[in-house]
Amino acid sequence: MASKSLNTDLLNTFHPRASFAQRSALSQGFKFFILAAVWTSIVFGVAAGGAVTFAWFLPLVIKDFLPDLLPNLDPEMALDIAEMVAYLAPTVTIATIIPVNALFMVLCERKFLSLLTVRIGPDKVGPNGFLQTLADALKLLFKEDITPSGADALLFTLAPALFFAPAMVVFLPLLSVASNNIGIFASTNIDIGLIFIIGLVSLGTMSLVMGGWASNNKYSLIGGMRASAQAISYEIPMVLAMIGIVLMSGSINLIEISNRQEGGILNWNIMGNGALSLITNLLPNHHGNALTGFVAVLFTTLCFALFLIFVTASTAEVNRIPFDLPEAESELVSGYNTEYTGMKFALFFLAEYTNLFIASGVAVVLFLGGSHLPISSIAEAELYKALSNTTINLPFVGSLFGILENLNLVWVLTSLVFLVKIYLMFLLAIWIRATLPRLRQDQLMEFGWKYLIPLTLGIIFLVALSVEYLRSGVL
Amino acid sequence: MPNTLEKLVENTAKPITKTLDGLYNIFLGMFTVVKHVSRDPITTSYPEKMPELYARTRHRLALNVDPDTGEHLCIACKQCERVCPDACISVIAHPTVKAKSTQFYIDHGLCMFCGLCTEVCPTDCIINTVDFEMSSETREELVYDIKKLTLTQEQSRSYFEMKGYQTKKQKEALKASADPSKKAPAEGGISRKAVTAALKILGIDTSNAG
Repeated sequence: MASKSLNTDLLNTFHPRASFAQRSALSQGFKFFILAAVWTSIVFGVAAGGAVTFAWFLPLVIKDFLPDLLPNLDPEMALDIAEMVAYLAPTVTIATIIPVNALFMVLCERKFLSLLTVRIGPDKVGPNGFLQTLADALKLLFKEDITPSGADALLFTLAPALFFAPAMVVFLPLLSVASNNIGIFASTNIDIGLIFIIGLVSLGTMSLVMGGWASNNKYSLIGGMRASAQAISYEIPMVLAMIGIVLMSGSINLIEISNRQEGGILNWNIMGNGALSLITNLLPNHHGNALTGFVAVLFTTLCFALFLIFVTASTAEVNRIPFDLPEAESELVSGYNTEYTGMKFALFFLAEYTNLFIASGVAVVLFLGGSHLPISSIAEAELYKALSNTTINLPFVGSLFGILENLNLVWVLTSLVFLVKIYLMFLLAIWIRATLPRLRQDQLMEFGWKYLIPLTLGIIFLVALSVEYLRSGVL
Repeated sequence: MPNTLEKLVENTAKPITKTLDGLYNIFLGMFTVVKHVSRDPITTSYPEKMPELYARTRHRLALNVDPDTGEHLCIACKQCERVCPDACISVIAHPTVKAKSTQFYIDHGLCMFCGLCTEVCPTDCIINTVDFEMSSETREELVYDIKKLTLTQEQSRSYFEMKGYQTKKQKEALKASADPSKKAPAEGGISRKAVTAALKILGIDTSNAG
């Protein structure tokens, strides 16, 4: 007893047995949940706020008040301006969601990784470290922009921008899935959605090689070369896995692929798109074709295998652990972005996380039911019906002179569901990062070319046969 | 013919079993990782929270004074100086007064914190403290003199209690007590108690050794 009081007095020079407070695991998990909930609502709020402002609120204001403010203006001109502003909505949504989302993803990754590796993680900036990435972004903004001597200044500057640009554009088809294809956002519904994504995503690799070469640094160059080799090798199984889904859905339009999976978790492509219900044919008292049952089981297994292959290949495509050879810290300092500082580095970083977000989004659309809830289609239709004719009553201003009456708010539900699914896929990516070690370069190549590509080819052959059999009943 | 068929089956089955085995191991690893989510963090944020160090942690050396009287415990026997493998201790005895040192230098830049000096010290004077924050800007600052090394009376008392040393007073009281063989050692001797008990189990009687 005496020693304890003494020790606290002596803490300045000697600190025997100063005990530290233990955190309970429950509170750690709870804090992470709070972080995820708060940041998801921030991301959603910012993006939805931007979208609503430009797609609906600003045009409304312009239509109603611009003719009063400028009496000389032709009323039709005001309508045109309103329409032009409205068409900015997808762009504004993308421009707002990307930085906020990247801020959240980096923080979420660091926090979740610290949970998995039994560490504390960032907890200094803001409450429980909620603002850590904001501080990091501010720091990067104020960093000096250095171009190394001997570097190709033009390409060196161009590379991060060229890496970031495709990441922004690829967002468009995903936006149409998230917004349930309504109003202004219907313009983002591209018929060739999947091909559009594949084409633009592979553009990013070019800028990695460009940045690696222009840096005038051996590590950067090797990083860039590895990036290109890896992208070429793993794009093939990724696209082949996509082809399997295209065979099932009969479309490359993301909305159609997503809509074919509505009506419960068994209708998702990962569970065989409803084929699993044919398993009853295998029951002894069922007077059905046993072959159909077998094909259904095989088909479901193949779909799950396709999902695994897609996750593997897209992990390699966005250069994440265990396939992060282009920036292997232990071998190549930091790979292609070794020489980059300040905002150029931030752009690389931003684009990397955006790519991961897009890869997760494509995985969700292709395999995990897109923006549909895992409930039956009847219940979902009821929900949509309830949301499609909503009147908001604010506490003092009511429904704002009828502006907030009869709103179609289905998009809120669909985009939230889509966002949450994407973040769950992202958590899976972090979980993989916390578990698996990095591959060696030759292992990577061997795995890609000798195993993954033949396996995927075989699988899509079987998928094609099963689809044909299940659809028409003839083989 | 059957041989080739067997080979064919083997060659087809091998990659499949290998793949399934690999997948199983990946899921096993991922399951192991996710089990750790429920654990407390094993890292601590050091500058804010001091680590809980044990009494026998070997860090910066220091000299004790008697916790009861406050007189310096060093008797200038130079045992520590003799035993030090790095020769980083130098004791300067008082020219006239017996069992008293005038100066005591320890070069912590040379010290490897082996703790041999603390073991040979007959008066429990030189000890390893739990203080590890001793960075300095020059090497010369790492040479501690007697003024810097000597602990205050309170600090000495806390270390005596922590390490289970017995003060002079306690030793005398122990000696004075009538029958030491039947009585347990006086309070404070936690580790010595444990040692005595352990030796008793081994069949060695230490009660008469004092």
